[in-house]
Amino acid sequence: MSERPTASSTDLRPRAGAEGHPAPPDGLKPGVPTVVPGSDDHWLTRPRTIRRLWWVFSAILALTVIAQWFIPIKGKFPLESTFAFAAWYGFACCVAMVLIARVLGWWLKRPESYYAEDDPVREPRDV
Amino acid sequence: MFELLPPGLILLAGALLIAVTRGALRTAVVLVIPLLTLWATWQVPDGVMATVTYLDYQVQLVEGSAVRRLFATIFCIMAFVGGLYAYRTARGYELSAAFAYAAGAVGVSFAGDLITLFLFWELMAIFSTIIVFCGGTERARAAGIRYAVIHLMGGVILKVGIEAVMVSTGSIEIRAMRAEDFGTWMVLLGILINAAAPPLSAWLADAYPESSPTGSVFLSAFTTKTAVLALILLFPGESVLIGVGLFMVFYGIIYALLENDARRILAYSIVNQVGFMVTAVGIGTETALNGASAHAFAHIIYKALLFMSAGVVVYRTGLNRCSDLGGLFRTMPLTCACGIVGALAISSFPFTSGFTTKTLISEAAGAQGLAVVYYLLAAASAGVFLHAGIKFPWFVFFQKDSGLRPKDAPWNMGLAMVLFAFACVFLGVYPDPLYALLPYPEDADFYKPGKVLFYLQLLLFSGLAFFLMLPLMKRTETISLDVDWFWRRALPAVWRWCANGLGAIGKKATGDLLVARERLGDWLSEHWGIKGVFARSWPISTTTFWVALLLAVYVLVYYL
Repeated sequence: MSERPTASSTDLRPRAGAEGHPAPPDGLKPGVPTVVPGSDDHWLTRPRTIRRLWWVFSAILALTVIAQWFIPIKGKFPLESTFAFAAWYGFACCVAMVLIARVLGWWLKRPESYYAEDDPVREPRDV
Repeated sequence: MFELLPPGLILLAGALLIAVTRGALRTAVVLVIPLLTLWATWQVPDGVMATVTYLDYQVQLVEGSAVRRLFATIFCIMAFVGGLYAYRTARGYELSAAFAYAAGAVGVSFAGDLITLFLFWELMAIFSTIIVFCGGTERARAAGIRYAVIHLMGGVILKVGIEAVMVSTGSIEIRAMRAEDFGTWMVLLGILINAAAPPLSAWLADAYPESSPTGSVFLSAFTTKTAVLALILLFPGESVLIGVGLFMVFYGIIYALLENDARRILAYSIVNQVGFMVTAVGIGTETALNGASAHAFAHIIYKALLFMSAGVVVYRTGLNRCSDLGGLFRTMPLTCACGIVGALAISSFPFTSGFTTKTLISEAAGAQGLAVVYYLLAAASAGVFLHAGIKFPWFVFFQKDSGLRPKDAPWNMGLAMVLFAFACVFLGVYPDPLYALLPYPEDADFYKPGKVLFYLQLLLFSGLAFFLMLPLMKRTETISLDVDWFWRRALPAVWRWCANGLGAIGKKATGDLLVARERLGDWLSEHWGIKGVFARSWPISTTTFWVALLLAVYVLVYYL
């Protein structure tokens, strides 16, 4: 018999040392129930639901833009009142911020142990 | 009576009581004292109430005004809901320190002069450091020491500024000033350090996430917001603050986007939100100052809510990193829902408290004709939805299934979250009670269809950007270098280099000295040693010759 855990949501901590599964990440408190990731079929995670959510989201996005034909946006500054300004401005700013963060990330990101290397190693203790 | 007793001292007495009580009695103290302080806060009328003579100064322990009562009110509410959230899991000394910390914040709110402000300012620094230490890990201990060093340094800078202002003006009054000479600049710098403004901003994201799940809830509320109050009282309309605030806004967004630790994402977003308030103080009009005050009030509620929701996750799983979390909505529906409400409120989504408060700041920028500031604030609102509004709940509660199935929040934590989630929605739908507390009359109504539509477009398309750019935001198990690199890496390296350099110079010098001493010794023993020239026995004739010669020289010198 193989000792691989079965894909049942009632399995407690099958990942701990079980063959073929990664050990639980550091810091996990003993006794926190874990199951094989993706083993249960929650309706919110089904591809069909996600496809539908995308459709609903797209419809709402389209509605907010179309609505501007009926509801004028009175801005403080001229650009603000132009058609779909907030939509493209919000989108473009977010894309720009993600890209800037990405570029800065190459320069600024370091392994988690970066500062730990210098720290004196001591046993964790209660204060 | 209480009119004469500083409300902060009631909380401080509560902190002492918590330290000496146990069990149900302590719980009663934790829940009753903040409400008592809240009541006392509302008994403080406008004007100076309690004065004490110290040296030659009239120290004004309590001075009331609308904006002071507003901040003290939210600090008391925070102490109450924070106490409710923490009392079953936090240790006694953590709760006690948290209440003393809150007492400092309330004390600063009512400080009538710079000496009282400084006293309570330092009280906050001390007890917030203890809360960081209460994280209980080696990392928390190290982060706490760094935190204390920065804050004590900030306190010294503030103190130098206060003394310079006292010398130049002869007054210790808290009044609006401009950063135009050494003293006022130092006061401004000291306050800005507590507001997590550049260049020392990294202390916040370094220390807060290392505290305990309950400690970070308290830490998120007091230090930066008392700094905002101090700026409102001392530097309204100081234009340099607009630039500082806008920098903080975008710094917070970019670093939160890079971050993997769930609570560190929230810590960076504190800097981001305080940036909005600092910008508002820089604009300095009545609407702007109303905006800064109202936003601080709303911010404390939704930020504490977000930290509570992250705190429950850390408490239940022991995990901080987004890359380890995910899929928790299955077993933590309440925590997830409250986290989402907080995330929507911080993003100033219509019908949440962020919308009715942050919009005041944008309006103030618009009314002053500051187009660049206005558009940058709009971009920042989109960015807030990106980094805190979606990123935090998405990576903690959704994204992949981590396989974790922890229990939902304990009842007291759940109740605390529900209270604050309700407040977020209530102040979003019906902001009038909050507007009534503002320093200047406010009758703004942002629920005009055009305004709501503008924000819906802005935020929902930011959401679209998030989901389209998800592959670029894949979590990596990394940290990001911040300015704390200078005091965690560069300064120690310079120190080591200097120490090594001095050591080498010292070694070389010692070596040379040894050689020189040896040579001197050789020379001495050669001449004066037992076989040296001067130790030999000489014939009497030679001695006579030398004596005669010396006498001849003497006679010559005498006559010349």
